[in-house]
Amino acid sequence: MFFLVALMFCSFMLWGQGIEDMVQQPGSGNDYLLKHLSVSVKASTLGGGLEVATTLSEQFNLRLAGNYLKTGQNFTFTILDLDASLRLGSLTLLADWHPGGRDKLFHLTGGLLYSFNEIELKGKSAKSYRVGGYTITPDDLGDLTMKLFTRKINPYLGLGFGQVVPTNRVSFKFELGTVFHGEPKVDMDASGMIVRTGEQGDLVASNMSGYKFWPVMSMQLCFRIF
Amino acid sequence: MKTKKILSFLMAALVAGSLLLVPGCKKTPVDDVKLIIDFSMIKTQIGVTMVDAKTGHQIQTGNPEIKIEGQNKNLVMDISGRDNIKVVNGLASLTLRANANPSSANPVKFIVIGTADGYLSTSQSVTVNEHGGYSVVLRLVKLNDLPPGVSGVVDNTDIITGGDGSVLNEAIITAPVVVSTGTSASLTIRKGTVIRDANGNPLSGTIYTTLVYFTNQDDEAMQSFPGGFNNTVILNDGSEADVTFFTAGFLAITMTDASGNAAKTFDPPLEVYMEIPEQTIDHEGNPITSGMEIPLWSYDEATGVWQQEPENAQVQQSSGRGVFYAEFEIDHLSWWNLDWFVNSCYIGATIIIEKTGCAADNSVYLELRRENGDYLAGYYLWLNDGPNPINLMWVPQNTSANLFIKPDYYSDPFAFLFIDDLCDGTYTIEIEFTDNLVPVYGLFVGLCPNNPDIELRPSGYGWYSKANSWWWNTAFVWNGEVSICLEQNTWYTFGTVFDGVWYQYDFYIDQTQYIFEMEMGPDFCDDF
Repeated sequence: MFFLVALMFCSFMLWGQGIEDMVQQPGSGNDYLLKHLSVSVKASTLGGGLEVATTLSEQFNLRLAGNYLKTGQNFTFTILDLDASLRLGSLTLLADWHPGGRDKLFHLTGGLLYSFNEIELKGKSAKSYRVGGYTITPDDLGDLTMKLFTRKINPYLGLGFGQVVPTNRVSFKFELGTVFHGEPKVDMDASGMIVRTGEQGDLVASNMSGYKFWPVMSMQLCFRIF
Repeated sequence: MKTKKILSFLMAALVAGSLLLVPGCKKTPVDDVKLIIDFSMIKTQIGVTMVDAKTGHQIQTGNPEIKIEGQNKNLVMDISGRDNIKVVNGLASLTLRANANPSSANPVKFIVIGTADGYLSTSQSVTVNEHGGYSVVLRLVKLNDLPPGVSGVVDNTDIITGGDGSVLNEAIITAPVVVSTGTSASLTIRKGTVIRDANGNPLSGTIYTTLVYFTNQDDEAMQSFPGGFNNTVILNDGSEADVTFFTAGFLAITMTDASGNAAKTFDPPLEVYMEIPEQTIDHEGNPITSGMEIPLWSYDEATGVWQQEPENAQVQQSSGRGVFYAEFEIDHLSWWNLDWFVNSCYIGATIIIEKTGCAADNSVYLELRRENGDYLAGYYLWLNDGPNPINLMWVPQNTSANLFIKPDYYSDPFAFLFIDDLCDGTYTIEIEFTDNLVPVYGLFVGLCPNNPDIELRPSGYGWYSKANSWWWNTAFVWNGEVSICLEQNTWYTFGTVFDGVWYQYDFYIDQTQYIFEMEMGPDFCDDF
């Protein structure tokens, strides 16, 4: 559904104005695009990023960005210390639509995100255990590893305030959006005495099935090049 | 313009809605997920069952115990991981330590010695040449309920010694005649003989003597032979050898004083008279005759090793009864054994058993007998569907034999194979089980009350039986999994021993796949 809406949004943009018209108004062709080029630094829930953007027409901007974020968190799973590492990497190709025209800050955004995300949970016991006369060391017990995967290509929708290609030299832009990456897939692996079962994988996938959206809040500082 | 407003509103609502959805997902990836821990540290299981040699029932009373001796005894421990091997209901589970890496080139060899009050001690040699499951059955002779082929005198009080440990009057103690062979045995202790314990202290007062005589013609008697007939022994030149015994009969003799001190040595030696059944065949297939010499062996109960005595016993024939007999002197107490021997091969002939159908505990009992019917060896073997290649081990060289395949030790054979040379060649036999049994897969899940997020998948030697049956089949549970053949719509009792605790569960079987949930004891769970 979300994907369809994003496609509809993009189609609407192209249908409403026509790409050829966009790049030829109000200037002439590639010159116009180059003269309305900006770069931005941004901080968002997709990570830190750099973005280049250009104006397609009075109402439309086109943006290409790269984002990266690495973070981690520790928590426990019964007798295991779980080390969760989150590496978010993405490329976004987005279009801003300013319904009120270029001089209005409010815009709607749609496009696609190509994901390089890697989410991994690795669990290992921090201590040894006694079972009968056996001493089971953390190495004997082994590791439990869970990797979560999402789709590579995902639709994005958002809304925000600000011009990505400043009228003057600099502008500030704020945006809220969401990436629809669908239900994450889970890949589990275990070593030592820890057993991996299909049922466990299904349960982890079920636990994560509600995480179909990745919320995006971004702030960016935009610089007009020409 | 209106279209733009509607579209803007819809987009904003969609974004806001999806943002609101995310905080609603409060689950972590591992909610309700259980951590499953197997017992892969156990790579070898050796189940030991102590049974009464006559009845076949497990020895549940009389404080049954086992100890491990032999060259690799330090590599063997209780399956609980402890040094102290605990026997419950006559059952024990053993395993090898982590540093044991058994192979054909470097097998782990040890001896399991079983004792119980009111029973004669016995033992079995075990060779582990690869990780896996092994079964040992110790058949102990109950002194007040002797099996066929065995006769004895228990706690005879004819011997009385003075304060210096010397016997006051000559005594002759005779075991009753064994009905099946018409043979018997006796010992004579002369007046003045000094009886001492293992520390050299004299025994005084009434001496309680037990003399048990085993013939070589009854299976129950033969199966009680300490160590089995394939053994690593010490020859009379001091060297070790792997041999197969061909026995002419054997004796167990014990003496204790009123305080329970056991007699060990005699000065001068005791005189033993032992009759030999006329059906006896020597190691080369010759019938027993007067003038034959038979090596004499004594058994070290502490180490489970047979030691050849310096002198052989000479076979004679009585002029009166016409029976064959041998006379010899013994200066210490143990088991005594008249045995010819031949060198044995470690890896013998290959037997390929092609199995179809479903058998109780998927095992068969292989019984090797000489062509004259004398018992040579017996093994339990667990079978998979299809071809099951096995190698005979520690079997006599240059010897032919009949291999009988039985459902279990007590049943009649249903297949038979003649083996021309026990140490060479490949022999194939097909067997089909037609019992009304169905393969059942079971998964044993151990739960810890103190940590419900953990599931244990234990490994252990298991025993199971139909409800109210005395006969226990055996099965190996590896990491919680077991496949056995059971009768449908029937109650079964399953049990296992871990660290001296008998875990028993009753299940009604009416399906072919089960998950058995069991609450595990503190020995498993306390540390979690």
